[in-house]
Amino acid sequence: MSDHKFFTKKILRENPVLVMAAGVCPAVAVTESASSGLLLGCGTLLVLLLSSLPVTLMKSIIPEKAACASHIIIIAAITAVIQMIFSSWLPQVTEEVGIFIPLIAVNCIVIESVNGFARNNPVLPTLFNGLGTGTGFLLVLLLMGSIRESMGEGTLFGYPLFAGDMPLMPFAVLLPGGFFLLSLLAALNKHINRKIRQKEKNMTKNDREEGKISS
Amino acid sequence: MKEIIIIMMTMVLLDNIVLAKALGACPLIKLSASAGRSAAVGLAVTFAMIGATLLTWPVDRYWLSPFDLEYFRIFLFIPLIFLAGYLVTAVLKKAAPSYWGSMGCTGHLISANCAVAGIAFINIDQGLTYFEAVYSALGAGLGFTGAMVIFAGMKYKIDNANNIPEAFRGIPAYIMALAILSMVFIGVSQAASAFIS
Amino acid sequence: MKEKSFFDKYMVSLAVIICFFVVSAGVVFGTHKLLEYAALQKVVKEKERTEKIICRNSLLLLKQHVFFSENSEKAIKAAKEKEEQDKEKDKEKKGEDKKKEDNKDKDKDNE
Repeated sequence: MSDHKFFTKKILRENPVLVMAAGVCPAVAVTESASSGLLLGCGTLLVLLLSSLPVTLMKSIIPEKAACASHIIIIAAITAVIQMIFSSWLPQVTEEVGIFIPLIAVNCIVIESVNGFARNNPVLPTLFNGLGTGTGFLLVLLLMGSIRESMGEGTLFGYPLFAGDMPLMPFAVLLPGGFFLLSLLAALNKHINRKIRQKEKNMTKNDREEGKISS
Repeated sequence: MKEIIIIMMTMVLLDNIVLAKALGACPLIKLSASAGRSAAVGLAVTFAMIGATLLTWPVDRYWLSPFDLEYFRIFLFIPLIFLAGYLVTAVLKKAAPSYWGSMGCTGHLISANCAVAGIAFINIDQGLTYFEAVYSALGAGLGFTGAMVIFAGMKYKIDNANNIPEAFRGIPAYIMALAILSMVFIGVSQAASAFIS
Repeated sequence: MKEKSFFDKYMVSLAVIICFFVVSAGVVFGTHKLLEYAALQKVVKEKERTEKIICRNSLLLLKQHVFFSENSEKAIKAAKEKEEQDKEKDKEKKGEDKKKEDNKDKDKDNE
């Protein structure tokens, strides 16, 4: 599989949140405003990249028994660094996100990418996989955050959207609303994937038929 | 004594770690199967939570806070949380290998998920004492187990229903069920808070 | 064949883990110190900027003071000169008036 396929695969077909249900906790609890969703998505992307790269580069040095522990130490260190940088750069949004920045380190996406993928694959596929997974996660968080904030509070990134009195839906900002929106997005993603796969199947079927007729 | 009971009731009914804080949703969606297995996973997560609190609270109290080393908190807590989870899964695998042997990668889901790590950090943020932190972890674990058992029943019904749209089969339906469960839980927590106060 | 002792089995892994731990702790510590230094530099720059503004303001005030004091000296000088000129004019006028009166008296005497 060519390397860049690892990237595109992770955004739609194997999106970590929508298909593999791997980062649901932050995706629902943090997306009550678009800016905190964006911050956590960027944080997860950075942690993913910065921790899977050293693991790939050093995978021949690390013995089998020490693998899990050293991966965890690397992930924890990168998460601590990211938290320090975020809280000095954007203190208010970091306050909103709260405990979910430390929880990047135990996010299923990060652990699976580092332990499962980075340990067994060379540098370039790991890079693309990390970029793809992180971008998929970031896009979902951004989408969910924007929808929930604009429907629940009428603002987007803090700027009011509607001039007059628009009926708001506070349900969108509560936790059940988040789960509800996530399930709708997951169903939409599944539907799109099915359509794409059907199209691909039809295309290969047509090619095969044409091949038979011509031969 | 009364504070401990109130803390535990709060963690289970008012501030349920899954349904009010969305911290244990990953294992809930992926792991709950039959009610018995869900209860077992919930108990394992409870032990992991208690172990994580036991290990991390003293580190913060005696090593980090007195010397103003707050920024080391994440770096020290995460490996300790994973250690607690690893111990729990190792004990479980030895105790009942046929039951737990087929865990594989999902072992991480029990030992080190958002709920276990979240409890460790929340206990420090709320400034609880050692005993209060352990009881809070116990309450959170019981809340998680309860949510998981209930969700197992819902999952069983979803899997056996045959009028779910094609796009919703599988994970989207589970997440929708979780949405409904957390909505119900808001009502329960209102009733419980009226009852407690 | 000699069985591998505990030392042989686990020492390498333990050494690798400890190495990683120390290096990562150093990275975290280094980042913290770097961010502290950056925050300190920001505070120092802000202080320098404020001091520059204060210096500039006090220089302006000083110039204003000098300007006014110079001008006030000139004004006082000019007022004094005018006063003296007025006095001289008065004296001349008085002298002329006296002459006129003397002339009048002389005319009266002649008649």
